[in-house]
Amino acid sequence: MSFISISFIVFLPIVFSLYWLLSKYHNWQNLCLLVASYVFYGLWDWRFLSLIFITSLSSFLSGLCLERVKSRHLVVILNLCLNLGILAFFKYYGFFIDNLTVLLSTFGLSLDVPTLRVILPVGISFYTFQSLSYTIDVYRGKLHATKDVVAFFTYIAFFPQLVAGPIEKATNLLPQMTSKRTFDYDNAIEGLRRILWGFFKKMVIADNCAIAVNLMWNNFSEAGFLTLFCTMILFTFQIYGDFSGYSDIAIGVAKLFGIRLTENFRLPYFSCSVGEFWRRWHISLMAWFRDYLYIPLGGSRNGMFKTIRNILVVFMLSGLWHGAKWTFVVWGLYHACLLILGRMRRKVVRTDSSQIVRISDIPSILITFLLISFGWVIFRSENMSEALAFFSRMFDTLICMDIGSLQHGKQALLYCFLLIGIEWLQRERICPLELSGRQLGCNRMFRWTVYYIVFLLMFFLRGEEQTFIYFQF
Amino acid sequence: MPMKKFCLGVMIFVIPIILLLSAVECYVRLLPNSYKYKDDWMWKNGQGVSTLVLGNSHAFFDINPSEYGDSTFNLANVSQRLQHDYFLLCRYADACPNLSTVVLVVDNSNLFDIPMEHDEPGRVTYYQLYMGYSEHSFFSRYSLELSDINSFWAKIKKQWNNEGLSCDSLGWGNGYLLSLRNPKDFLDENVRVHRFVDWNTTCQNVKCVRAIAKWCKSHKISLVLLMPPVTASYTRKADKWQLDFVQQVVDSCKKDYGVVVADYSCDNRFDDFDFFDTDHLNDKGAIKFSALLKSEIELLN
Repeated sequence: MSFISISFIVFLPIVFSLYWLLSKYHNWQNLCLLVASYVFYGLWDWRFLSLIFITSLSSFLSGLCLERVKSRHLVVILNLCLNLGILAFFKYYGFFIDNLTVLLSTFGLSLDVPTLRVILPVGISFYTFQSLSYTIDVYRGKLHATKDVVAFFTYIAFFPQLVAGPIEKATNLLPQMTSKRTFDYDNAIEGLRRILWGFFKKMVIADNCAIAVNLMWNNFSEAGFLTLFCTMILFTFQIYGDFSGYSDIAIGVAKLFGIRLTENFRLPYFSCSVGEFWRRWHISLMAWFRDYLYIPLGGSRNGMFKTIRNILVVFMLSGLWHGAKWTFVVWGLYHACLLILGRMRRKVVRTDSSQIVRISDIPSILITFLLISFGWVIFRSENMSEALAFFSRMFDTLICMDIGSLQHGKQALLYCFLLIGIEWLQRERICPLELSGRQLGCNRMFRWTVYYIVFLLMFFLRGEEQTFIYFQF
Repeated sequence: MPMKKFCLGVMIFVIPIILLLSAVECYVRLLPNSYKYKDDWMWKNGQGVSTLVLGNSHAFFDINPSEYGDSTFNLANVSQRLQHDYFLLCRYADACPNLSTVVLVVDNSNLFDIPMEHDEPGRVTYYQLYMGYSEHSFFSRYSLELSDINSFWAKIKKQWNNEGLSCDSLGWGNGYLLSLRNPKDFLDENVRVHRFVDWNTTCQNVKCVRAIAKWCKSHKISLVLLMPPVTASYTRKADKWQLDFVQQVVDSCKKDYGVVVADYSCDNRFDDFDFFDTDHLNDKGAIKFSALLKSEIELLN
């Protein structure tokens, strides 16, 4: 089931009502959430529920074993192998075989392995990482293994964030699942605001950009500079609207159930450096890699060489996490290189993602934005030759001053400016629809007028529905 | 208490939205459209229909029933799939006791069509809402016109331009005027091609053609499988095996069910000025073609 469907509009109020009717019994609330989550996922493809079940069960049992047996290493390794094995099979089998075949053929050898075209289960990377976080945290002693099987299964399958995150660490979400939740009016209202804003970003920004990007991308070999540049910029906004929109909806829905999810985005395109961008973009994934890979590898405390190595490893793997394509790996390495170069720069730029963006930051913001946009071209391309062809066409047309004219995407660009304007004005807030504290924000009529306007814009300016990009990861 | 306050607040907020959207949905549904018009027409005037034209835009724009008197009705629509043709034929069968001939377009354009849900979801809604084709549940996106915002705006725009109904009183798509023809559409690089996508959908389409042929035979109704005129450049650019496949399908229907095959796809009586684009006739071309087809149908009767 998708957030953007009539079935979800029916599903959410039913689950919400049932959930709060059971507010005196939090175990029953968990059961309600678990059933709802399995229904939510099963409506996409019920067969893959078995994978979620296996992942959940193996991690749950591993947790219990880790607190009871002496060979803790073995338990954690077995669990990692099982979960990463499932992920590898479903996500990387085809990629591995294809590349191995190409490699062997260069030596005149052939490989006789069945070429399975495995369907990629939606959200597999997200829930696998979430279950690994639990096993590792229990292994490290940061968390006690839970004996509450329903709470644990709900933690893995919690429907708002099951298919596209945020990736929740067990230390954050599991304690919330095992404790009593009480309904909080302000929290629920905040949740609704987040949902509305998330839908706006997805339906108005991302979906409209997607239409223009798809049209322009298909004919980029004949396009002028302006079209190519706008395609790049529009895709930059498409992926932001799409993914951060999903996260906003997920966080908002979770708030309706009294559950607090990790923030996944903090105005990433207002970053002054690539390092800062990665503290603002897909925060939960970067936190996962930081805690379970970068720091165990030594982080940045063992000299420049090892720091560079660690950054390269983390970003290469984070690229690969997105999908079994070389473009993702190159995209990850591209960001790693930018990050390393940024570290080598002597000039100090604002890098604290919690600081408010100032007008004086705009030049750094624009440079960072452009660098990130170049990266998105690699991300969007089917293969590296397509990415190179895009860049080569873009720079050729620039050198030849073949600026051309913009055929598509003017409307989408306008929406992007609208988004930037709203986010800039409300940059000190996580949700731009949060109006309290503003002069007019105290007036309920004004607040509601704003919500109605956003709703109507969302409804009548929405683009043709597109699947969330991050579903494929 | 907080829950009560929350639910009340949400309801107060949502009710005006629901009312507004319901009003807009009702308004859009009241706007004239060819689907609703054809459905109404069939129920009201089906008794007098002797010839029914089915198919996609190649039938909708190419066949002008007024050439045959008022006992012929064009039940085709843009992008209409063969499954819809079959459904509509069965749906109106009882309303048309005098039906003696069905003209069905079967060519390179519709035999390789993919399900409409994939490329034109807005039209699925029209069949669901106005022609009783309830393939999808009430809770699907196809139950509301507003769920496809592009179609919604297109419809509103048409209404503002006084082009709400895209067909004439006998169902002919009369919007492809010679004066609106764009010569650029005829350049080789702009020729539209209908490509094979997958076997599953193609087999489904073949099954529908055969089902229609079988149905017509069992109801003693003559079926004309029609391949309308297309430009030479279209034929040149089309995949040869696809054209051969179409021929095989119509030949097998002819053999098994005794249908009449009318192949005008390479008819040199049509030149570029009879076309609106490379695979649709313009208004003048449609009148010319309908007159030619008339003699074929008269022979049949």
